[in-house]
Amino acid sequence: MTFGNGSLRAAILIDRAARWVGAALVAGFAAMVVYVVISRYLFSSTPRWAEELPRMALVWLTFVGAISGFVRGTHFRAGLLDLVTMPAPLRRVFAVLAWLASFVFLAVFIWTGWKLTQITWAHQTTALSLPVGLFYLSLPVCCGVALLGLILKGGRA
Amino acid sequence: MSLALALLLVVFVLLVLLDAPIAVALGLSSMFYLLIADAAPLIVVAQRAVAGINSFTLLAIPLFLLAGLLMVHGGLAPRIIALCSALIGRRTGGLAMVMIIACMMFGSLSGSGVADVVAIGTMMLPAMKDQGYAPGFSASALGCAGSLGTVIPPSIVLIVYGTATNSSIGQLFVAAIIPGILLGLGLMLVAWWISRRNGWQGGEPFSWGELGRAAKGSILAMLAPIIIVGGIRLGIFTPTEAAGIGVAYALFIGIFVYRALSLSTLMRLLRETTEMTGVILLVIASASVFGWILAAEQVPQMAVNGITQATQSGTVALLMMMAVLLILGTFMESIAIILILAPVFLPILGHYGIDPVYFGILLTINLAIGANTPPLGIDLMAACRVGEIPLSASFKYLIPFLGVMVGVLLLLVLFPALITELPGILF
Amino acid sequence: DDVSIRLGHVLPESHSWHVAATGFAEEVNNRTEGRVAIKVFPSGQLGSEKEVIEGLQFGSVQAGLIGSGSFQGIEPRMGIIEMPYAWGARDQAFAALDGDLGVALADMLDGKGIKVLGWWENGFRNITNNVRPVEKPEDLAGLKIRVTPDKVRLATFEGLGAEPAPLSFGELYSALQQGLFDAQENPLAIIYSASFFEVQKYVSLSEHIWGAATLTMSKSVWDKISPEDQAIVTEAATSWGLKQRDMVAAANDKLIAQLEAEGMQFNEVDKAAFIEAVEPIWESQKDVYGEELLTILDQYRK
Ligand code: NA
Ligand code: NA
Repeated sequence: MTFGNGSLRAAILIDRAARWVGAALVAGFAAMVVYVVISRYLFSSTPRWAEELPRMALVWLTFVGAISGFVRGTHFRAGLLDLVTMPAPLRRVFAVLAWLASFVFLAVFIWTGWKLTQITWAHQTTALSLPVGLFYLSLPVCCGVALLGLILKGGRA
Repeated sequence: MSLALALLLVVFVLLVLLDAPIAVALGLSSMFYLLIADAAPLIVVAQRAVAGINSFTLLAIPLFLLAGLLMVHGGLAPRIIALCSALIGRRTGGLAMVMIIACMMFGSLSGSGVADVVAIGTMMLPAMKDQGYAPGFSASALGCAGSLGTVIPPSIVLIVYGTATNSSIGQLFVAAIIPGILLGLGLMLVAWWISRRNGWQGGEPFSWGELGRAAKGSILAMLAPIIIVGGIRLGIFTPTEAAGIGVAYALFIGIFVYRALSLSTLMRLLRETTEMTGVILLVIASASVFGWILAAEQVPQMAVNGITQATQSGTVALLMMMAVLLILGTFMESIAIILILAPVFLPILGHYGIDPVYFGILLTINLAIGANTPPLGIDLMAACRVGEIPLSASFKYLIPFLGVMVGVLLLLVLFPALITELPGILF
Repeated sequence: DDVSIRLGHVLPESHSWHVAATGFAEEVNNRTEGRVAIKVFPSGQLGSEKEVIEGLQFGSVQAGLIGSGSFQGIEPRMGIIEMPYAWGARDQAFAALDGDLGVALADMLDGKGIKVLGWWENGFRNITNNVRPVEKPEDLAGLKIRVTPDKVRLATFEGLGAEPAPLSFGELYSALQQGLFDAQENPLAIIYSASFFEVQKYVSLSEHIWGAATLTMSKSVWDKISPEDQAIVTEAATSWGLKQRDMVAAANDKLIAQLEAEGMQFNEVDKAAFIEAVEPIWESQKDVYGEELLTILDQYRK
């Protein structure tokens, strides 16, 4: 895998964009949750979106945040390989295999997520009658971006 | 067990050994299984991944993560640590005890024992080294105390367990208070005892003036955990809402009272929360796919049948499950373990009439012990990495710390009322 | 070819849904000599009701016993069964679902790839609370009540003057215990199995909503079954449906006695006042259900 600095910069840009979008989502549902508590005690009413909208934001946040995890290589790992001393080429082979695993994982989610989005676009959510597909759309969109970041980043730290 | 199921496990373990992300190992082995076993269309992975995280309760995770970050960077956590230091820092084993208290109060807000160990260790270990504490001692105290953070509420590990077993997060939090305090006191006692034998003491010299200033400065900071746990206990808000209120409170104090939070820091913390949430919840999403396959192939029923044939006794079943947790806890993050095992264990709990809330507390303690058990112990390894010492340097001091944790665990097995009854009376 | 079927539902193994579904599965397995092999998965093991419905459509789950209200996401008109005070008595509901209304609704689901095998029962929902016996709608004023996050359900209780809010079922017990909510509404079987008697005092037999349980199969799976075996499945679905309805009726009196023994206090409500109070909901939902379906419904409500 030989990539120029340009691709690394692009990967960093993807990571940065994902983190800003995620920041907006976190701020958004933190505000929603606090507003719901205030509304319940001050106005004795709970808005209709109180449960559904923050839930949808959480689903999106998860996969948006996962983009950053893939680009930065910060997803939870067992880290057992670090404990064994092995020749550098062998270590390299393992790293490529692990990279490929992430690649296939994301590719399958893009494809299945897109199919499911289409199937459920006509379904309505209980509280707000939004398309159920809005939840599943997070998969193809975010995994697509994560895959792009993973490719641009290559095997680099 | 069918060949396909065996392959599912083999592929999963291979991917874990290969150092692929745990989430990828869970998801990819599931995809592989669906392709070879023809159990369901592949599209089910997308559905289960979203279903696993599409939960209002899980919103508490990013909110607690953010609240924790705001407390550390908004000046709340440092003030509490300063107060502890002013109180006991000078005494025998003082800094070690301060570190343990810090882990108890702020641990587990990150959802990962490893992350807590790194965060608190970076703050405390250099000071301890300067005062002559043996690095191996400091690292083993840090590893054990860092894992303890997953037991004491608010705990993301308990939130994940509650969601996975459909038990109440509020009840889990309350039930964890006494075991958490017992464990913390036990660790502090060991730290004090070892320090006394080695003559380790010192930190800032004690002064009433300093203590007064620290106490005054930390009142508002001390209120934060009280508002969160007290608010849940008194039924003012749900755990998720409590996390939101925790964010609002830490934000308010950090900006307007302690004036430690700038807009750019706040933005950075929001971005960090994004990444941490993605990392934790992607494991939950993938584990939900994995768990669906186990359920659809009736693995939980097989586990129940296997255990019930092996023993009639609920206690023996409990011990068997705890042994599994101890072993897995040495090399995997608690959250991943819970998500994989909860669907398998839940029917076993039901069969023997074991209360899932009670079991949840034992489970987190088991995982905390497992995370510090050589030769692996992921929290211990992280502590040694922060302390820049080899893992083996910590072994000498580790036994009494682990001993006291096992002791508390046995106490809780023998006297379940410490978890199930007492909290209801006291809190 | 043999057809193997996973049947999912969300209720515990002690519930009549599971007992009857297991009986149904056994009968089908035996009479088709394994050509149609059904395994029952209780307690939401295969997912929530909405996820099972999706699974029926894309093929990860082959059959389900599903509360009729949960189909509103794919077919809003299914909500008509669970309209407040749609039924004066359960027999009216059975007549309608075994008759023209059931046929009309089954046709709608058929178009969505879901075959209805039979209409079973979830039963009447009743209100429990911790403050006072609810006898008339005004008694609900100011009560914080947990409801499922369904538009019509929320609107119904807003209309009745309560303060409804959604909450996940897993948090409900402790929310009631700690007083975050004063009230909730569920069928008696669930009030008992979830131990709400430990944290709630009054049960008001409001019977404000009656729910059906829909025994369904994925249409693509159904089409794989031979006509002879299809007849066996339909027969078993009908006969176990009748048994399940009897189980609900028999359980009802027993549940009242059990809940009273646990210290709960029962009261009847002024139904006429409640029916009048929910009238605006019917008005607002008119366009959703359409003239034709409402006419069919009216034949059975008299
Ligand atoms: Na904690
Ligand atoms: Na662990």
